[in-house]
Amino acid sequence: MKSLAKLILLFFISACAKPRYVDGLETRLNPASGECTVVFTTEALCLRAQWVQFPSESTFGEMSLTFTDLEDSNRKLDPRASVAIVLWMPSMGHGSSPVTIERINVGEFRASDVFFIMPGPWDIRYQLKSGDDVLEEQIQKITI
Amino acid sequence: MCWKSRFKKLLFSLLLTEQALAAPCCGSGFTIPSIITSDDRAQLALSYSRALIHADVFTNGDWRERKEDDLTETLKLDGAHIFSDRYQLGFSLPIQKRTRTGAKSDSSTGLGDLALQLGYEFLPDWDYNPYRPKGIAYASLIAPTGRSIYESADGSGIDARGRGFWGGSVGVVLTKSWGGWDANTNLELHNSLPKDVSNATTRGRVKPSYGGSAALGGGYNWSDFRIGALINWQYEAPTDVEGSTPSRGSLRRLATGALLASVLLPDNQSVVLSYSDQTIFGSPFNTTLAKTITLFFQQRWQR
Repeated sequence: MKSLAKLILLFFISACAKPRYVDGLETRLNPASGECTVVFTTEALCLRAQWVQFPSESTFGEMSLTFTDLEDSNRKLDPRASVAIVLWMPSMGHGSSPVTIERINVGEFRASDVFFIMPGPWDIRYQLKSGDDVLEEQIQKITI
Repeated sequence: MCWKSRFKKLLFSLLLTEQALAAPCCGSGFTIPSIITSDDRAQLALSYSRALIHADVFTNGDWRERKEDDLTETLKLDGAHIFSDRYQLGFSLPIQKRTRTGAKSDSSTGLGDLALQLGYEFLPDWDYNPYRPKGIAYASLIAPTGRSIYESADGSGIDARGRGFWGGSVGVVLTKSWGGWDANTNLELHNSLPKDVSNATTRGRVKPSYGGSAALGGGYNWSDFRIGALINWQYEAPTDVEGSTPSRGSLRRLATGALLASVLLPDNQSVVLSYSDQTIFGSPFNTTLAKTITLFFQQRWQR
């Protein structure tokens, strides 16, 4: 019986987890100067998405979205379609709470209420929509 | 009451603990309904558990510790009754309260997933054979009475208290005792059906797949007391999504270690206190990890 107890103890010990804690983002948050975060080919638009406030477990995030002509980065343009953002966690197969999009000026939008319900690898899905139909979607991958 | 019979009555605690081992986030994981492993005719158990998410494990193997609380409290009623000598029927009825602090602080209370189970004692232990274990095979039906994270009304997942799919599982429980020592194992396989979902985030079809778990435990009994330990490995195949947000999921994997202390009370009653921790064992992958305290009270009726 003692041998059995030793065997079970050995079994439990050998199964120990080896945690590798990380604290910090692996993803570069904002695009470099002149760089598009994503490109919408259907409307030939460059989208620069910049974090004004990065979300955490205790705070909502906010982004500024700037749409410019793909050929002229100084020319701001409103997309013909409506703009939406969906936060999606592909590894788990679920999303997060809705993001609020507000137009500020020509080609300039504010995305607020950005919140990821759990840490991990997420997709930020930038969408051009007509009603419920997604006309084009571009994905930025990020690890929260 | 002979010592073997007394110890068998304490063996139930291992199986009860396994019911609290599901991954806490979003109601995921499978529940194992109550199974009578003793020589009793019926049993009814009420349990209360507090599961606090400690960390998340990503698909690259990194761990990140939670800074805000995500607490799941579960009050569960489990019952089982013998019929036709070697068959038994059981059920599990959980009520969950989820509470989250932080930017999206909120709480939600409601019914979890209801489980029904049919068991058959295929290896009886009538002659107290020194080597052959007692074996019970079971099949369970899981009803999606708890909302899943895929159907969360506002996408925040705070109202997710179940898997959200119709599912079934089959499994085998083996128990054995030698002197004051006992051991048990539980092997289980399950599968769930796809479901159409629509909420603030997505419209489409969620396609879960199969999963399984394997548990191994043991304990030591003296007088009316028992202390035990258990480790349970869980695996879930990827969940894919079709529709407005198509995506391919990743497998999930975790192991839970548990310590428990049991005491037999007069009139066929028992109390178990258990602590389970999902951060100690295994090689977790794409999952949340929680630490859980559970208190069980059980009433049994002899044959």
